[in-house]
Amino acid sequence: MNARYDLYAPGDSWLHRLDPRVKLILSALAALLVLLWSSLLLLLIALILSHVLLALARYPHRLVSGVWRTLAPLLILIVLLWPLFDRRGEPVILALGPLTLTGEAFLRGLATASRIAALSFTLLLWLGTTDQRALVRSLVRLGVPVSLGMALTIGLRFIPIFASMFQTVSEAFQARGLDLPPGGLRRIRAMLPILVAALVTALRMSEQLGWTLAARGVGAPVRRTTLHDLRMQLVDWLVLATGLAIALSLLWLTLAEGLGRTLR
Amino acid sequence: MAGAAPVTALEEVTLEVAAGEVLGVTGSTGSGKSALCLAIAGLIPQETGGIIGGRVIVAGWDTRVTPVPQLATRVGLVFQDPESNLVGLSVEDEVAFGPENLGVPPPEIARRVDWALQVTGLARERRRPSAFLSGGQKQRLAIAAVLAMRPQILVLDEPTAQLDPVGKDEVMAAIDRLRQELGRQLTIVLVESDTELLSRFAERIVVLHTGRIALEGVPRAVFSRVEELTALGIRVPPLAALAAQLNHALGTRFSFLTTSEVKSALRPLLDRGGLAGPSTRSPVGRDVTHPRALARPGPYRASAGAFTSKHRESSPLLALETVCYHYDGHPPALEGVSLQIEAGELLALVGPNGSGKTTLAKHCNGLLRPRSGQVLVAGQDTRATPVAKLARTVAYAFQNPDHQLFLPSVWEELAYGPRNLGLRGQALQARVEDALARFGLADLRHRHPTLLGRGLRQLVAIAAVYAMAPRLLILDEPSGGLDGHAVSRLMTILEEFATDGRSVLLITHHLDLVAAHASRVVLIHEGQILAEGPTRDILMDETLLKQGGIRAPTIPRVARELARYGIPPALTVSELAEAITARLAASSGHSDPLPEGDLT
Repeated sequence: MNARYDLYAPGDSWLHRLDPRVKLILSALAALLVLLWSSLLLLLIALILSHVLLALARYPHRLVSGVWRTLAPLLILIVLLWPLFDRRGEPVILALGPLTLTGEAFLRGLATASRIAALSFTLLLWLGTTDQRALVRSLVRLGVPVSLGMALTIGLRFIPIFASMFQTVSEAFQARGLDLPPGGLRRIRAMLPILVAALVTALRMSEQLGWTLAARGVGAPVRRTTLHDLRMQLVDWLVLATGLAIALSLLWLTLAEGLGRTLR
Repeated sequence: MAGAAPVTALEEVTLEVAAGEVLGVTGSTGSGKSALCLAIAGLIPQETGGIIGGRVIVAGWDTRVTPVPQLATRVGLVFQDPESNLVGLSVEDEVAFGPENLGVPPPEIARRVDWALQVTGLARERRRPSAFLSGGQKQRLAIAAVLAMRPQILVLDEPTAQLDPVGKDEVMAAIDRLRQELGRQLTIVLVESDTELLSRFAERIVVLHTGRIALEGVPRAVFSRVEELTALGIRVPPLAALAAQLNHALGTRFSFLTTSEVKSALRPLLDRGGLAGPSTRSPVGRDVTHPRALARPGPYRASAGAFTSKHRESSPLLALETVCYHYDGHPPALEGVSLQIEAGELLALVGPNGSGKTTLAKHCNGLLRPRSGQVLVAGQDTRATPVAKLARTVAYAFQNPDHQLFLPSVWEELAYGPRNLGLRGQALQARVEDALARFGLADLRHRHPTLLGRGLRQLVAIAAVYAMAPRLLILDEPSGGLDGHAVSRLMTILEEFATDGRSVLLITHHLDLVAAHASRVVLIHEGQILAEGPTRDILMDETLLKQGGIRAPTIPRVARELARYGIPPALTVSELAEAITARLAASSGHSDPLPEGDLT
């Protein structure tokens, strides 16, 4: 019940072992390229490539299809609605009063949907194979303050706990005869006691957590050390160099030569 | 100590703990056990605020002036709630977290992590996220995490209170290993309300009461003062209670801390066939041949039977028919569960954590609806009836009282449920007053529930659902935060409730309570009902319990060990004490009656 919030799949593949900073930089560049491109072909290649990489990293199919399911409504809406509002281009497939459907608009819709999908899966390459701790650590190493990083780690952990607590509180109130109307303002008003009880519990929990942190030495006036400090290995440098070379050439081609800037 | 109501948590406590000692601390709710832990770690007064008089010196450091992170290098503190003990990293990172904050060099951290994980038996879980661990594993991880800071003192504040018996055993085994490995290098302060556990582990016991030390001494001495402990609201370990009853009946001076002590103390007597001389106390006559002398059926068992037969023809209060349920994307939590609850039953639902107890209970009031099969509450199908309507018939008290308290006074809290059911004016007033009186909360009616101590919050939460006067009352681990006094008050209320023709579904790990009060037991294991039947049949079947993943309660186990001396199976302390005295009296050739064993 507690794992669904998380895209991270524990593992030991090459992608998991890659330094999180390298993953962050390369996926950011890839995301930039995907955002710049309009070419359906290039976007589809990017989408397929991201899936190949995920498969090579043995990222579970279950989570991949989970992401697809989450994206599906949005993607379908884009593909269906885009042609209705974009009347540019040829060939005209249908012209019915104010309604004009063109083949190009249809492809454009498809390309936009692919761009969103490719963007999501590019980021999934980074988020799905980097555990929260490494993620936060890489941000800290790239300049985010330690305290902020720690707050982020703890905050992320408590989201599912608070969610399940809210659920339990809500059940406890229904068991005491609280009638939750199906929707609207009345429901929000009815949920007030649930919010109060959840808040009190959350405060109690965070008080304890504060004690735990103090008792675990947070705030000691010494320079913090790290068990597994991030250290770039040879393979990390190689991947970074190769990745940067490819991404920057593509970026140059895109910006200077107009690679992939048009639909076809 | 902090908060709106100024409370004195500890008062003039003078306590010295020697290096390397294992000190057990117990006390009723509000006795100051947790405050003591916080004070040792310096969290009182540094993090909590409040006023502290006197001094706490930990390994030479004054806790009022030594910063908590520095104290943490000498004192390791583990809390009761597994969730609030962990920062939420992977197992390895969690253990490394403390030393990292203290600036320990990485190679040394690695050594400490290896050691701490090995001693707590978590080496194989190293790379797993801590969120995926079981309760027992989480608590062991919390211990490993403070051990990695190399403390000289380990303070454990009810580390097993929220665990099932298996988790409890895991944690205690880890502590045992730690003692073997570190010996006198580590001082342990273990706060527990499970006195049976304390009696096995501690070298010295301190009993706190309203912030003062009430009793102090070696376990044998403290736990033989059964009457004083009971008066202080402490649950007496079953074997200590057995010794006291035997001593009272036979004039002996037994004191038992372990099962083997019982055996070695009684074996010579039972072998020889009785006490050397006549009992020093004059026994009260009782007919040995009368089966009731051993069977001791409580009134509730009898009434449950009566109700069962009387209502057999009509439809049951609650009926589950081949209920299956699974949470999204998870294996089945319930598989083909069929169960009926009749009016007047006090039914106990037992099984290890994760076996489906709570899932089953949530089906009883429609919070969960079966994926297949059906649940009928007083004839209404839960799939077609809103939870709020089912609440008229079934009330449910959740495990954590904080999940349901939100009103500014205890009175309002108790009135909330009945008001939702439409009660107003005089009727409402009467209903709330009755519940307040029964639960002994009348003096607290104007107090703010969330500012009460954990035990009282628990009682308020239970009283609040009791006040709805349901026909079925479901209680999920109600005894968790309660002391001896509160538990016996609650159990009396529940028994009266059942005699009144209403039913109780009690979910608990506390098998002694089940043995003493339940009329029927349902044992659930991996989402299926493994067995159900009269309490006696289930709790005395050791093989069955083992199969169901729970440990047999102490008394039936001891009775079985004594079986070869002609001691019949026994479920409760009084029963066993009676059986032993009867056996001794019979074989020592007393023609006259056997000693009175009933001292409860």
